[in-house]
Amino acid sequence: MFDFDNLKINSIRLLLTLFIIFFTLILFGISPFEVFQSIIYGSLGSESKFIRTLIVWAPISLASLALIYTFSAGMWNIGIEGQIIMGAVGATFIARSFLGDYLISPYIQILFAVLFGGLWGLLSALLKVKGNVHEIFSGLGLDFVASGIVIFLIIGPWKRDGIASTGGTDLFHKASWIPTIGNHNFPLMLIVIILFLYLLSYVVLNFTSLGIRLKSTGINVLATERFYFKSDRYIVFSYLIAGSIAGIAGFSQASGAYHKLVPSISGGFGFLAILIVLISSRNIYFSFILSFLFSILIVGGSQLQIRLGLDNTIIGIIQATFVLSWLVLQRIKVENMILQKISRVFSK
Amino acid sequence: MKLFHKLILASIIGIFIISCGNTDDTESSSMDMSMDHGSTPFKFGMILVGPKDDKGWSQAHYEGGQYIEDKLGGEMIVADMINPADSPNLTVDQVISDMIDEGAQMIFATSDDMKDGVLAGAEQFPDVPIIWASGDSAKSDGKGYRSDLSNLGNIMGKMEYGKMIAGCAAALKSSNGHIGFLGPLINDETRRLANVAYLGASHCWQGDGELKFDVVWIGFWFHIPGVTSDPTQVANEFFDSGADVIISHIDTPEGLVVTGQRASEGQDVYVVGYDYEDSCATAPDVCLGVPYFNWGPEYLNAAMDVVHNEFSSKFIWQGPNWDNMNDVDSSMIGYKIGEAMSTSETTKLESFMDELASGKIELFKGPLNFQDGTTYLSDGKEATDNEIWYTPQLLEGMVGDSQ
Amino acid sequence: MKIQIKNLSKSFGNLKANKNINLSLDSGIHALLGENGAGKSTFVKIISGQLTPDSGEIIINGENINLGSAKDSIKNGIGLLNQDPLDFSNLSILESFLVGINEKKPFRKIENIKQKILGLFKNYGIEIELSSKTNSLSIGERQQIELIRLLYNGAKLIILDEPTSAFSLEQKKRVFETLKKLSNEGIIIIFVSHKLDEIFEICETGSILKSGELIENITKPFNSKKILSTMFENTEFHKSEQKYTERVNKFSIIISKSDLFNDYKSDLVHEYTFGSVIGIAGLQGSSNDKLIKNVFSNEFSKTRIIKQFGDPLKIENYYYMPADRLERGLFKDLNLLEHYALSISAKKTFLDWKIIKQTAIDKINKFNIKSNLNNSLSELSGGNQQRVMLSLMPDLESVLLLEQPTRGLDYNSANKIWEMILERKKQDIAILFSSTDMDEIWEYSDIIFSVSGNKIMDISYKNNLTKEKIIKFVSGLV
Repeated sequence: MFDFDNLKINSIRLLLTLFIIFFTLILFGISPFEVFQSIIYGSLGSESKFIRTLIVWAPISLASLALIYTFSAGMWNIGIEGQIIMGAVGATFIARSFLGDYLISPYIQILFAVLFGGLWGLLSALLKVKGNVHEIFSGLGLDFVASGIVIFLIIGPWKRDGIASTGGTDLFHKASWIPTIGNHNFPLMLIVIILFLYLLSYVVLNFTSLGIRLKSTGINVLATERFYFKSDRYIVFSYLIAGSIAGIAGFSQASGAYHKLVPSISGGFGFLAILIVLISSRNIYFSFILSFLFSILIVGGSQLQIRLGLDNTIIGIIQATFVLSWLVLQRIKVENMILQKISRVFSK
Repeated sequence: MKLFHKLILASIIGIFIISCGNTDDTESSSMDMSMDHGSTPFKFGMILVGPKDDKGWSQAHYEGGQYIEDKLGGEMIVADMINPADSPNLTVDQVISDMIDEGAQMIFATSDDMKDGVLAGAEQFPDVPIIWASGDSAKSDGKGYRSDLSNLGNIMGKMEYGKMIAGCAAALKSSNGHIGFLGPLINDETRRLANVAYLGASHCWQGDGELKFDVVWIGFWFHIPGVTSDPTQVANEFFDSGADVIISHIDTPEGLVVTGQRASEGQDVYVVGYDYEDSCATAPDVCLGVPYFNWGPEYLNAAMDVVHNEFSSKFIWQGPNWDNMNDVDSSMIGYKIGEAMSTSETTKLESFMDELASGKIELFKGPLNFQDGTTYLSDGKEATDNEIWYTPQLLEGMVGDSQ
Repeated sequence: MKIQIKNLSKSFGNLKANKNINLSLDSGIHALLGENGAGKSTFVKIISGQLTPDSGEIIINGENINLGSAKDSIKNGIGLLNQDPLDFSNLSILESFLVGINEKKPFRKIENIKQKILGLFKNYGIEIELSSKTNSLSIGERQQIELIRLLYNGAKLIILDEPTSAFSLEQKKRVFETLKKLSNEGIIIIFVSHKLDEIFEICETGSILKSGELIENITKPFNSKKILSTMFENTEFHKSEQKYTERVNKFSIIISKSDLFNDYKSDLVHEYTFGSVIGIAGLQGSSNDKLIKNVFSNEFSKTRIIKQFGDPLKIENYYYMPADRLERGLFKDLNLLEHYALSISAKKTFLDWKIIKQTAIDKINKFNIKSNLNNSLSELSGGNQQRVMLSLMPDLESVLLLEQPTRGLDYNSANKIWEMILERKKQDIAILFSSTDMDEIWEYSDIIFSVSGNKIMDISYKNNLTKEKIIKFVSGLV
């Protein structure tokens, strides 16, 4: 199933985008080599840094996976942020309940994160299917509602004792943190979940009728009836699945990264994942890899200020340049030309 | 296609030339540094909650760090905007660990909001001295005392005095006795400082009628769009509801900006700044002054302790140097009187300050009641440090949320 | 005004859409007749300046006009009324006039314009408030207003391209009156239509196009027999020599009363033997396709098919094949293999790509599809796409519902498609197909439904019909 031509083209595109990023950095008077060295060191340089990258990678990769489902069904699931946020709310709900002090808490948190995220996704889907509201509008709206709910909870019912601050809730009891192993808190459970979900999704998308029906729904809703299925149902499915997976991303943020609920709990990873899935053209391998590259950028980039004294907005510039030039290159298809050139040189 | 080849070639060469050049520069500059300060220069980390040039709280800490660099030498590693909104996915303990990676020998974490990360970092790196400004982890009779964290100290200024002066200045200037307090989030510290501003104001209010003192909390130390209330809007609402002086207590200067705008529209309104010595510069014509922190001396002390290997976990709650409140080398708390104060008002304010210094005025003295009518201090009783530090409620007479 | 068209030709690739057309008009209402693909639309588009002809000239009042320039055509007084009114549905009539009229001056006196429009309205007996919103009007009223707009812009020659397809009778009457009045005032009208009854009602002269050529000019009184035989002149078809054994089981079609405003024998149950081919004849723009679609989807009607014995039919027993292949029939970005996966795996959870691939290869061979399994459908030719649609027919006993199964295909492809369809007579319950090609209907059907506009005009066995009768039915002449 693996498409090697595609891989070649994508590798060339990656190189070209790196070139463009290098140039951009030089324009800002920054040494790209130093920056990249620092990013790599800052994200992969030690075991604890690597684990930190994993903790960032977890929600990004999950959100990307979630979006593959909705994009397959032709839906712009802008509401992914809200689904992540509600997943985190679900997880926090359990972590703050009587269950929060028991070691079983993270497992029940996942259930609730899936439930909350899935229901939030379902809302978007129902608005689309029953109410004929475009998913981008309902998604944006539900994102705002979700972050409103979180802020309400943080300065209202879930505030710290004697404090009303949007800084976040109390830390969860340690039992409610994502279980880890080793000195550096390797989040084994989370990694297992992600690998399992990716594998499962690979099978679902490629080897089940659900997968192929989602894909055809995304291409032409009018033709589905002829193949004896209702596109509306599959749009709802895609949102349920996406919301559930995004919910787990929210769980990872609350119980893995912050160990509490904070207002911007989604970290903007939902929107980032939209870019990743766009760039990877819904390809499950590339999404997996790209989300890791982006988490390297984020974690390594957050240390640029400490290591090089650079403003940390520089990482925004790198990200934006990456996405933009990638999409432009994808459009103008310059890689094919280069690939031909290369093969001609080698055939001589 | 020839052109295309040339472009690629040119770009490759260009990248190498420029970036190699850059690398050389930085290497040579770091060499200079190491020659100046010996083989292991003193390095310390400064974690700021807002931008390092916010003309407020964070800049004051940043300049405290620069004070160390000036007096002791050494190098400051700065990480600013460390809060969940600006740096999602980055927690304070991670920043601490990064700074230690970079060679930091001590860390300043400068927001009460950093509590979770500071405690985690201090647990993780027991050998690295950490100063948590405004925290209570080293207050041995405090609620948040952590006897196990011998590497974690606290530094805070007795801003009570600064805020009393601010309240007094506001009351002296106000023509209708309606003052708005632009508050950040709600906790012990902010309730405490809102209360003292009220005490200062009611002490100095000489006009007719009852003093009106409204407190509105935006939800965080500065504006986070979509998360907190907008301080610009809150400031405008104060003026719309009839207040003529605002006491700003947030990290950023929105209160001053709005007041400046209102004044330029012809309104007779004033503002008291906060946190940072030069904050009046935003709106000098309407600024009644600013109580500010001068972190430098205490930070230097702590850094010296580290350099001399004498660091111990201390809870420092330092007041002003009453002889010269604005002395950069000795006074933790300063007050700059603003240009908007008339000479007579300035005289009155100065005598208030003198009386505070001499102890003639003691504002934390009963009878004082809480907002809900319960007794805070019974008649004639003076507040203990703990009663001041842990302030559970706003005082009777103030309007606004206590929780 | 006098318009002369000389030696007009236009080709699209190999297809000669217009061949040396000559026509000269100076008054009256002139009909333009011809079956599908005869070249009527091309001709209209050339005259209105939307297409540039390969050769030929158009002379108005003795002067050659610029070909292929819509602006020039309008300047020379040629106005085109489209099938659907091209107005702005949420503007008022006055507003949409202001947008659409041809005024050079940047500053216009709205009052003057208003007076001029009202004058025209009065002249043509139109009683509509200028301030009413366009979308509150009927399509007939909107077309009338469009006519006025063309007049306002100085049209001397107005072309109507099948203007009545969406009209009610009442609306039609009103528009026709306006047309007659216009004609009396010396405006030339070219009326493009399939419907002979309408043409007979208002046209004085006419031209018949066939395969791009103007083969006959006609004048009143019209001879309908002659016109029809000229229009639908026989192209020889290869007759399938295959004989099909009569089957004994029977099914019935119950046509819902709500379907197609049908009042033709609606309460009757029509009973036919298994394997019957039912052709639904109708001209372009009639509802013959809709009838096919309605059998498949219960959304709009309750028309259904019942077996006399055995289990009731399930949705999987129907195979529906829409006329627009890529819009409603197939998935253009899905490859061939994936289409078979979609069709085979209807009831299964997991896909067995091995079996799917084998089936796909078999089908590709059987249906003679020239494509790779990895080609996406948008890369295939129309004929291949059509064969793919056929090859996706389920193997079980089915009711085939085929909308224009040979639309847009050349003679050979069409023949092959029909061979494949007729093959299914042996196994299927019924084969329903719609077509606008009367030869195709006549050739392959056992039973023929004739549809004109929204109405079923006749349902008969082929034995009881003649081709001429069908043509009369579908032209609405009964």
